[in-house]
Amino acid sequence: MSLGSIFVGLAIAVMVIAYIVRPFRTASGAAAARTDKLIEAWVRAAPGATPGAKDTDAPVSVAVPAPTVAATPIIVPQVAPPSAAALSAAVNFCPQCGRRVTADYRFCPGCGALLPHEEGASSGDVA
Amino acid sequence: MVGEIGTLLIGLSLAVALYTAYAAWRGIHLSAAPVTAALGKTWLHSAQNATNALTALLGVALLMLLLAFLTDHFEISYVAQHSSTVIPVYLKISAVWAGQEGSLLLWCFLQALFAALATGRASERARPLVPWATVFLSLTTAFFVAVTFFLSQPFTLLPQVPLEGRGLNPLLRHPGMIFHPPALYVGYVGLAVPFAFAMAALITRQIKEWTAAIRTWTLIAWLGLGLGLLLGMRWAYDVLGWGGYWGWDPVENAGLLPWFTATALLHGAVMQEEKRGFHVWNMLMVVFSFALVLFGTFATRSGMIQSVHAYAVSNLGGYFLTAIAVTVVGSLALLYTRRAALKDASATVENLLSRDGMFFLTLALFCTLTLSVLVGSLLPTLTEVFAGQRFEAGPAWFDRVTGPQFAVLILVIGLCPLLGRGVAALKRLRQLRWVVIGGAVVVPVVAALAGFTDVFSLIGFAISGFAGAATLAEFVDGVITRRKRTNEAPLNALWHLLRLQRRKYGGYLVHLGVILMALGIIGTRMYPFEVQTTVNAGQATTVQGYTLIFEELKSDFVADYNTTWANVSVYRGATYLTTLQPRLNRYTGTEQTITVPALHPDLREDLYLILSGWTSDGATATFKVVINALVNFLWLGGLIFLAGGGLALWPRMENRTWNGVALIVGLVLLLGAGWAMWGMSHGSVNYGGGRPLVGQDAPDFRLSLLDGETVSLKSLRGQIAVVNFWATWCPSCVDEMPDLQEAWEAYRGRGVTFLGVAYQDSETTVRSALVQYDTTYPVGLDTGDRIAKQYGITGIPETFIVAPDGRVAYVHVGPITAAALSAQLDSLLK
Amino acid sequence: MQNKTTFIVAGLLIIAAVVYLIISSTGSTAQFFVTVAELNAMGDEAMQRNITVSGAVLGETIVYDAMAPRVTFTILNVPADPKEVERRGGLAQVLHDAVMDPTGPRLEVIYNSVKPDLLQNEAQAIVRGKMGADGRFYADELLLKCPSRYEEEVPAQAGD
Repeated sequence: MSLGSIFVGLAIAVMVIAYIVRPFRTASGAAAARTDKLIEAWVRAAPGATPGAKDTDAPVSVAVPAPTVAATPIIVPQVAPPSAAALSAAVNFCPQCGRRVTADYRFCPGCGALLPHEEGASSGDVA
Repeated sequence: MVGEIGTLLIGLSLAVALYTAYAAWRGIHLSAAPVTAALGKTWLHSAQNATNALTALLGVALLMLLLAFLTDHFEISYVAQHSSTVIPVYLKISAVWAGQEGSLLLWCFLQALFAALATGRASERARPLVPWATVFLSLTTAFFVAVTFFLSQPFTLLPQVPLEGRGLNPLLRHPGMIFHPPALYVGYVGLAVPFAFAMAALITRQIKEWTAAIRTWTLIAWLGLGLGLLLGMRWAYDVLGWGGYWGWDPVENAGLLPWFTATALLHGAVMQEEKRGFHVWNMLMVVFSFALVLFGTFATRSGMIQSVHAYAVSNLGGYFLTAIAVTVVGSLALLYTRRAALKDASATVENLLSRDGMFFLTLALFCTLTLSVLVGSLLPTLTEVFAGQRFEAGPAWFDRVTGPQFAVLILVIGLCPLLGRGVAALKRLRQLRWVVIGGAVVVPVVAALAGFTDVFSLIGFAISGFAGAATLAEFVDGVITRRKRTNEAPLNALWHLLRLQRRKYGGYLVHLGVILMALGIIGTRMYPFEVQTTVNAGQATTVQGYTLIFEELKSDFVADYNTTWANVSVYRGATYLTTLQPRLNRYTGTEQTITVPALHPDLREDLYLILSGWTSDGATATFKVVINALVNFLWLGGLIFLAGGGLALWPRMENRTWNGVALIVGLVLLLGAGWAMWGMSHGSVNYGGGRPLVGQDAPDFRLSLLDGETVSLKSLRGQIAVVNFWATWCPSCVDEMPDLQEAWEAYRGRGVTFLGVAYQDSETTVRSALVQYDTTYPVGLDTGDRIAKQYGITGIPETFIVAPDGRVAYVHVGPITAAALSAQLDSLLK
Repeated sequence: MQNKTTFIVAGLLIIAAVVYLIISSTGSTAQFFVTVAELNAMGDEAMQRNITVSGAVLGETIVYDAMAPRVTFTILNVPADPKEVERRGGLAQVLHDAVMDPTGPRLEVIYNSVKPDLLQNEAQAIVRGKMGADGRFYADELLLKCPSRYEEEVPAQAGD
């Protein structure tokens, strides 16, 4: 095996490997940030999102429900779906990792598990 | 260095292929969970990049092999075995796939290319299946690259660099051989794509859409296989010199078997897309197509099948067998686990006598055909196991077993357009009954009148006529229906019909092609004719209405071979047809001899002539004459078949320019193929006339003499005319001039005239020669070689003696002596 | 339901027809595929059937009458089992051994046609024809494979 062949071979190998791992390098930056934003949007997308809690810069954690919501009349018949306030007020635990979540979360922000929801909204098929 | 880089590239390709499979697999599993979906996508993206890189690597390796051939790098063993400095460039290119190593490398490259295209440019419908398809496709590529890298290296070096290569096997020096392997490989490799996507569909349980998703790929693979098979047949016909085109050899069958299952798949796919079931059947067809592809490669490289075609027994057999087993067992297991979903999806077929029923019959028949040919190829092994004695299936066996099945298939081709769905079905049949009955009657009657009277063949002709009429009726009906709506001119209507319903009418064209091919097969198989005959030079022999005159034997040395051929004039009755030149080439590099047949094609049959042997003095030669009835229908059918396939493949394009360009290119290709078969000479030369036979009328001519007068042969009636063709640049002609003059002086005035016809000569040289040799008989120049053509002159000198009644009395090829002339003239004057 | 039965019946009929075709053709037109040794052992029975016999060509016995045309040659025994062939070192080696062995079973073949180009010493011949009463084999078809000096595919020219 002549030296020239080895050099050329190595050069080709390096180029090929660089091309193959390229997606990993470009993805790690933008894709990760996108993923975070997606997760947050899902996590927050309960029916009737809590106004005021829309602060996207706030860390996604268990938030104390905003007191302003209490102004809305809660005198509703029991058949009505729980209001956002009620949902924000209720505290649950994630069945998968045990983290504390409120009922207006659809996904556990810690482990990503689907949280059981009364209204039966499913996560939707990724067809 | 070229060789070393090539080897490194192949090794790197193996690593990349394995990585692709892994990356795709990883990507699939990561994509399943939403959190890691993005990472999964990245892995899949990387897999796609790897697929592209794989194509580039193998492409460059193939390119390096090609370059090695073009630059005569004989230090590479493979190049030295198949090339030499003297063969032309286009043959050096085709030498790349002349042997196992190179053809495997070509296979690997095509595999990678198709994988990249199929996954990278997948249609919307196919996209969900792409990840799993990538896994399977890359594993297949990895398998072939591994086989190439570990067992069949194309770039191994020789310890010493030879100065000259061994040269390309002379049997491979035919244009068909340049395209035959690549076309076949497009077919073989192409079938991996539907297989991969089918497996992907099974795993992801999306079993309804997969046939539509890869419809184009299935068609490409099927057409490639068909083209490869047709080219192989034409090559065998032109080159192998036995007069036939298909021997039911196991290697030939290896290409035919996957074509059967692929055709079945194509038809089943139509049903599946129309939501009429056939899901399980299509799955089975695609699995067996791929398995048969592997089997075919295995069969030609192991010792399992006795065949003179096969590659030498190589070490690859066991590995292929394992691969086949893994594929078949794995796929069937997968099918079994998804049986519930498949059963749900299948629709019920209603009536046997309906379009669906016809499709069912079609698939059933292709399955039995596949089984039949498989059994036939393996008969020695099977019979040894079951009956204790090895039997072999010869062509007669295959004809007997497959013939009826093909006949029923042709019948189904005809029935299918006639039977719609349900009640409307019979109405259509009733409407067209006269047309199809007409077809079924006209064709056998015409055939019988032309002399084809065997009962079974007439049945075959009837079925073909019926099917042909039914298929043509579809075109006519389509045009009529469209014109009702749009009021276009018929040709316009036809154009738009073909443009808008490419699959349907492409399919009908293919059917028409197949029907024509059936006619050719019936003719050649049921009316075989072959005879051996030994003739002396100048003698005539009659064969089946042809008169063949063996004129002379000639020899020459070209490039790296010695060629000997016979000039044989062919007449039908008294009409000159052509001069055939069957030859025998002896190659100096490999010590091989090959026979090159000469053929004269005609609508009714081919006259096929082979030079078998000759005596050393060239005075006697033996020929084999084969008459192939209706064989040109086979080739014509093949062209129409390809045209139909091309039409079906053409994507829907609204752009008129592209459609126009495609039409023109298609027509040019077809016309080119037609010209290659019937326009180009296959060992035949038209001299304008054959040499007149003794006893025939001597062709009349007008000769302008040097002294200004013009003499016509007719005017010499009542005298004996000695016509001598010669030239000053021909030494033997010059040698005989004194003899001619001597004879002239002896016989002049006794009712004998001499005429000298100077062939391709100039006046000044002729005049000075006449002066030099004291020639006093009339001489003239044969301007434009007109007289030479009439007399079928193939060389000079030649002398004809014409009797007083205008008939040829004597022909002498070569220099003549005064004594010989005297003897002939004396006997005539008596 | 009735329709499904029709299909099943039709399918079975087709399969039955094809099986019948296969078996009857094997019975009548299929050729016995034997080695030289097996053929010699068959005795008189050999004269009834179409036979395909394979063997190694002994070059020095090739006699060609170009005018007839007729070629006669002798073939020597070569084992049929591919595993056996592999064990003995490959087809080329086996052909060579057969030709070198003066005592091995042999068969004289008469072929009334032109001498194929590939008919040479140590070539593998597959001969189809009938055994004659004189103990010589009258060939209708002769297929030859080139000696494996050439390791790759060399399609033979079939003589018919």
